[in-house]
Amino acid sequence: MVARFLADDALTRQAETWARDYRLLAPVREGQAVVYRTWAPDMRPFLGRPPTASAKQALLPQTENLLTYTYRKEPTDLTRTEVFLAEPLPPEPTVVLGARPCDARAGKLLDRVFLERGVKDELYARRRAATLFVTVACESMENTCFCHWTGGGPTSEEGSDVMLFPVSGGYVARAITEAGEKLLAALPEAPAATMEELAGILAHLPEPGPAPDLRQAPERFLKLFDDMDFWTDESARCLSCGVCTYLCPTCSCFNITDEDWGLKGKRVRTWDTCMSALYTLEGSGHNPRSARAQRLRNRVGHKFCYHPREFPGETGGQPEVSCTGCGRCIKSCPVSVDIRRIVRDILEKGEGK
Amino acid sequence: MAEESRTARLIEAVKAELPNLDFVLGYSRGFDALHATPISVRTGADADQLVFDPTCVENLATSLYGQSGKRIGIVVKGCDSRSIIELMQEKLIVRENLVIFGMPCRGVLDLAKVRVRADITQARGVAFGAEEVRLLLPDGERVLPRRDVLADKCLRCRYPNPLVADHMIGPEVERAGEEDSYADLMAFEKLTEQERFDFWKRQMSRCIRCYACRNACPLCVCKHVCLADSREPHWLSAEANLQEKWLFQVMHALHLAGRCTECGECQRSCPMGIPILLLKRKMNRELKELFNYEAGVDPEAVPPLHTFQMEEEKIKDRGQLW
Repeated sequence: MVARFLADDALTRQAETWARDYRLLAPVREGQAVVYRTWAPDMRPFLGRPPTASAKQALLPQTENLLTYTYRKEPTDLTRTEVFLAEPLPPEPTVVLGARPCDARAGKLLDRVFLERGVKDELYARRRAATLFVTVACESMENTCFCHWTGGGPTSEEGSDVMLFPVSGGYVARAITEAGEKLLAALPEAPAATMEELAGILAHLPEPGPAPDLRQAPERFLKLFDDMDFWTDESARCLSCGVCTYLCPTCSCFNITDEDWGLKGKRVRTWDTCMSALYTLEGSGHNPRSARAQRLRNRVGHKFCYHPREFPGETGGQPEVSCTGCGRCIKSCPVSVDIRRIVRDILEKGEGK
Repeated sequence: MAEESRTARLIEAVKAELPNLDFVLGYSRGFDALHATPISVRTGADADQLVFDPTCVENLATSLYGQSGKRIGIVVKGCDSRSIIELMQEKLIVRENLVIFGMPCRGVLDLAKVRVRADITQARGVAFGAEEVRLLLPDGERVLPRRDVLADKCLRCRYPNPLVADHMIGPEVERAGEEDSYADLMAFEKLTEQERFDFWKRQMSRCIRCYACRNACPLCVCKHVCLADSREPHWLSAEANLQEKWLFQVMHALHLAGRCTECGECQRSCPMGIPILLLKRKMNRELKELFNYEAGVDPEAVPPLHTFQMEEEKIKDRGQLW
């Protein structure tokens, strides 16, 4: 497919064009944060740095209406109640602008949970099929980035429909899928000089530091599972808040609650976080994960042990982990908990166990 | 370097106390030079990882509540010591079970302020001078005036030396902070009610309900019975709606009235950069005006909103009026 050119000053116009046919989620600056907003006139998309929250909300909204219900009491016999149910509207076709390669790659990992585990989540499936990703390739790696640990990279195309490569004056836009090609139809072909510049940039991408061999991670994690001293030390810093899970592109846990309002109500699916003590609090009052050490252990274990054990990749290769190395959990953690350090400690201390 | 020798003295003091303690809460180096991360020191080797400099922003007093029966050491700055005093005032911690390592402090970094002045996502190092902060970035050194990147609370700090400590790792620092004029709040209050409400609607709309603000607060001690999580009674819906987000912040501010020491951890912890400390400052100014009271300064003082009694000792005798 031809490489096209999206000039900086044409970005807003192009976004407007997409917004006519799609629900467009675009990153904008708000204070210190870069957040995805549904397109509105006068918006100025900001692609200069990775959005504060991941693009997960496009596929798994923080609040998702599953159904609405209305009770009607029989006026002549109040013991008789009828319930009327209404399904939510189907998801709109959506374009996510300004995701990063680590965000786009997360779709595959969410699919594992919602589509490939025996039960297919219809709502997720419809949303997934209706969503396109216009991804911005990364020119550099931040101190918190570790996509190369997880099989990704600053220019990884996996999960994207269009890749935008920053060059002087704009972006080289390359379609990855047919649907992506349609999004770019109106853009001019990238001039030869621009393509030369891009080739130069791609040839000099920063070399990421060494990545650890994660093949032993699941086994060593299990060896350390009951070592509460290890987990207490690792979690000494943790505040048990939901920053890491809510900003994470692959954390997929949710809660389902009925939110009543008189005789009406909604059944909603909302993000949940395994960092919360309530996550495992049982009706009896017993809590199998009452300590934050146990909760942090769950988060790390899910990503680097349970997931690769459930979805083993090719024998001998690096395992598929449920993490894309976006580093948001490190960058936004109020107390700088570093999941890379925990994984390294697992690999090191689990070896001799 | 004075700071290095101070850290060495801190490590020495911690090591000397370790045999009598379950652990010591302190700071170690985080994932890069601009970040410190809390550490529980149990061994001499752990103690050797301790650091203290303007990157030590976290208020470690947040981890004190709910540790009954343990003997804990804690490294505190002046502002952090006020949280400890407030916890003592509220009888939520037992002073005898604490060994406090006091670190006089000339101010900590506000990374949000650094970020608007320099791209620190690839920072390689940092050095702190008396009046400047030197950032080592991939494209060279960047020097910022220290005052420009200190936390707001440091610019108006009246207690740079811990108000309570068992080991003061000096020298003590002279107070440099200006009297709090609440200029930010006054400027905000000049806006009309509609403008203020619109401001908060805009700010709160990006809240993700992660509750970092609550969990980072040293005085949020309801833990898992917090009204934000309670289903019975059902105060808040699980939906990430503006009204739920806003209701929580308002309740948080009310519950902290007369208790908040403005350590600023709520705002610092917010991943979305929502200026929620302003709500607490509003309550604190009211408390100051009404009761001439400041939280977390005097261990013997009774917080004004703790003086409520179900039965007043005596109803005022108004004499015979009819």
